[in-house]
Amino acid sequence: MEAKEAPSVHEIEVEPEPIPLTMATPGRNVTLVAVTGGRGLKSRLYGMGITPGVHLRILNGGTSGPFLVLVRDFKIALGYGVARKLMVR
Amino acid sequence: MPKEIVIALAGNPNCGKTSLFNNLTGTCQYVGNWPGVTVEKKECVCSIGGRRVRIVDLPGTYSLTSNSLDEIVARTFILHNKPDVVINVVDASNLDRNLYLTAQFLEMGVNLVLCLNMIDQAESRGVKIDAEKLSEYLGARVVATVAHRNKGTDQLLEAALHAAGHPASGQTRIRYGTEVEKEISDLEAMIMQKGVLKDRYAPRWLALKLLEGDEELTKLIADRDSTSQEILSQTHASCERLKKLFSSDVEMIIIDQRYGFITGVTKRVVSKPVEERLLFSDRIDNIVLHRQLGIPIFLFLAWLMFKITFTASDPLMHMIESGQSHLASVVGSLLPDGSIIQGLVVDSVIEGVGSVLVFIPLIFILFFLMALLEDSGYMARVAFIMDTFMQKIGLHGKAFLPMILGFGCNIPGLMATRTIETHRERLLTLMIIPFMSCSARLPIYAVFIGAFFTENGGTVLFSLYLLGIVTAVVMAKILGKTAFRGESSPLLLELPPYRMPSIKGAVLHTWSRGKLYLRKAATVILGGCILVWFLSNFPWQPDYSRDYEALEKEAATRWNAAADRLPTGSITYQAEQERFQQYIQDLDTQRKSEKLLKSYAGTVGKEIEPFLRPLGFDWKIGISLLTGIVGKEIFVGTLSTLYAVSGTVDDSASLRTAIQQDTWSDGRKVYTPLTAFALMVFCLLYIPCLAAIGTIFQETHSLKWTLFAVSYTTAVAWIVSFLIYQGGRLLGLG
Repeated sequence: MEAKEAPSVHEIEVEPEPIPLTMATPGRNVTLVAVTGGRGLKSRLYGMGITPGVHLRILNGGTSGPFLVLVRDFKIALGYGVARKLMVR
Repeated sequence: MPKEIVIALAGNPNCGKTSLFNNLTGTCQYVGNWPGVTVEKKECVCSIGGRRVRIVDLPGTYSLTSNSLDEIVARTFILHNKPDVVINVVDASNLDRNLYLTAQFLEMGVNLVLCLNMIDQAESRGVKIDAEKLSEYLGARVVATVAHRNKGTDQLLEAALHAAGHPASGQTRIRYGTEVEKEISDLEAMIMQKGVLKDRYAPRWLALKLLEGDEELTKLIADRDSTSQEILSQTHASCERLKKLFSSDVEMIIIDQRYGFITGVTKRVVSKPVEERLLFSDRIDNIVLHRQLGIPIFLFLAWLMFKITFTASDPLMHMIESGQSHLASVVGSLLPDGSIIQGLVVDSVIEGVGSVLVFIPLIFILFFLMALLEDSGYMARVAFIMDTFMQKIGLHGKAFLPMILGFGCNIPGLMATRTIETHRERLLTLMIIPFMSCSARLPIYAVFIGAFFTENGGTVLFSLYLLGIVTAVVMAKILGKTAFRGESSPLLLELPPYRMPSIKGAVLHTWSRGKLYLRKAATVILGGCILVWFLSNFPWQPDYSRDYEALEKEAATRWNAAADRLPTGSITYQAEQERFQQYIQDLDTQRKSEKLLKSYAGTVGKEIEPFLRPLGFDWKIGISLLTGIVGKEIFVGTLSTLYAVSGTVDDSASLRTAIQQDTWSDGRKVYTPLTAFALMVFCLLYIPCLAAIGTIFQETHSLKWTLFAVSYTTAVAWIVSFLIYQGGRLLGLG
């Protein structure tokens, strides 16, 4: 896997159109740009390897239910509330 | 004698740590759970080459922050108990994610041995890892293992023991960039100068954690004397400086640097092919996680599990039952008839404990099937499937797992709520777990289903489990809107790849849980049975309303006179003889009945009967429900003790026949299928057992919530049973 520099907040601001994961189409590959949640959520996500710059594949997701994403070769179930806070492109 | 060596086993969830622990403990004399500390923290002690070695299995975590209880438990053990060696188990096919925890161990400066587990899977997927280089970069020993095939275990143990004799020195130090490093060393210098907590934590690590904003440690320092406050203000200043410089939180900068270090290592050590293929796991997930099919599949699997349990255990239970009554009659004949000792041994110990032991096949088969489902990876999927639903009742999918565990025994379920991060949801989950039908309630169902629902036992059993869930859901909804108002937090859970569950693993799993049941049967339940027997037999000689002995003697005199008069063998003689025997038996029955009524138990049972009559229950049920608080399975033991001594039925009849035949004073049957069902529902829902009450107290640290749990569950049980019994009667069901 290609190691990417994690974009800093400055870069995120100029990057066009990051959308919440909940709005991305299931089945697509996306890149995580930023997490908009609080400290606790961020540090838990980071501990599980969900860091800015990482590639996600949306395996399963819907209008209200949880999302299933493939990250670094393992599957993580994300509740709708978390998925909403992941900005991807 | 040399000091004991302590080895801690740490790693991410799903990295195969449990199988590895099982392999390591294969050579141990003693494996024990650590009750009251965490759900799955286990340890074992063994002797290797004349040295005592203690292996401690820490809870699986992704990180070592103070954000969740599991992480705190793991971190606290390492910091305070200072194990000689930490074996960090990593999944070889997911090195970059797994190394995040490793990085934190390196920061703590522990004596580390890295265990590259499931190396075969990684290799089969074309992942190549240069273990030697990895060891060089980390400055720690690296051993490759395949835990589920027990490969590499010896080498791992050897490496760990070697490391124990050679404390960490050449271990890698992670650098966080010039600016952060400067702040760390300034803070470190201040901590050293003040001498704060220096004997407990390495100053550099403490400085790093404070910059990261670790809540636990910040609070620890804040609670100390005023000189320590300077450390906090310097930390604050450092954070502000770094924040300005990087326009990002310090925690984020540090996490980025950690991942930077990891990426640097894996880039040089791991070669991975680019793969785009549908794995076996994905294919199963497409079906079981299907939006519409997911829940029906889960319900079907759950139903199937109970069906198999019931069908397979039936013949075994009959075998134990007949063995037990055989034992009772043999032992009974050896002891003096009608003595206290005979009553104690036969009626209380053999009958009472036996009626609980008879359910061992049932419980072990259910535990075994649950272990298979859990080890296969399906249980985590259930959290995903149920999340939408759980969100609707104010919880998230993760809270469903403790609820499922509660089916085995409420206690591990209650303890498993520790993985739930928010206090509100944890408390809410704790309050509804007692409605999950644990295995201790199975003996009760088995008796009543066996007696009244032989045709459709599986369905009735399933409906009870379902009713428990429905009640839990309704109560969660109500409590969530009243006592525990607030937002529900979202789900975040790894779904492990499917694995073929190993029989050995499932057996070990079953045994470690089933053992608790056996221990309970041998201690609490035995004590409970003796207590119940005492309460229902004493006063030993109550004030009878009639002199039974005199009546008996009188009848015997009359019979003797008649026997002399009548020609032996004539029809009249035989009729008289029968009449006499019947009379004696009736007298005996009446005496025993009166004795029980006048016993301590009878007095209490009579007292609470008015409360239970609207549910169709008599005083015998009342007493059994009271003793059932000690442990729900004691309900069965008490009931059989009560029937064995009450004499309303033949002593040798089994409990099932006894309850089928028992009648009210007006001749109506005490038990109709409707009563039996209402009773099973009551047993399902009322006060959790003593051990569960204790666990709730321990987990909530609150007497208020514990008392609340006890009283509201009982109120719910009464209301639901009332609705079922009275509703059923209105519909003409009994």
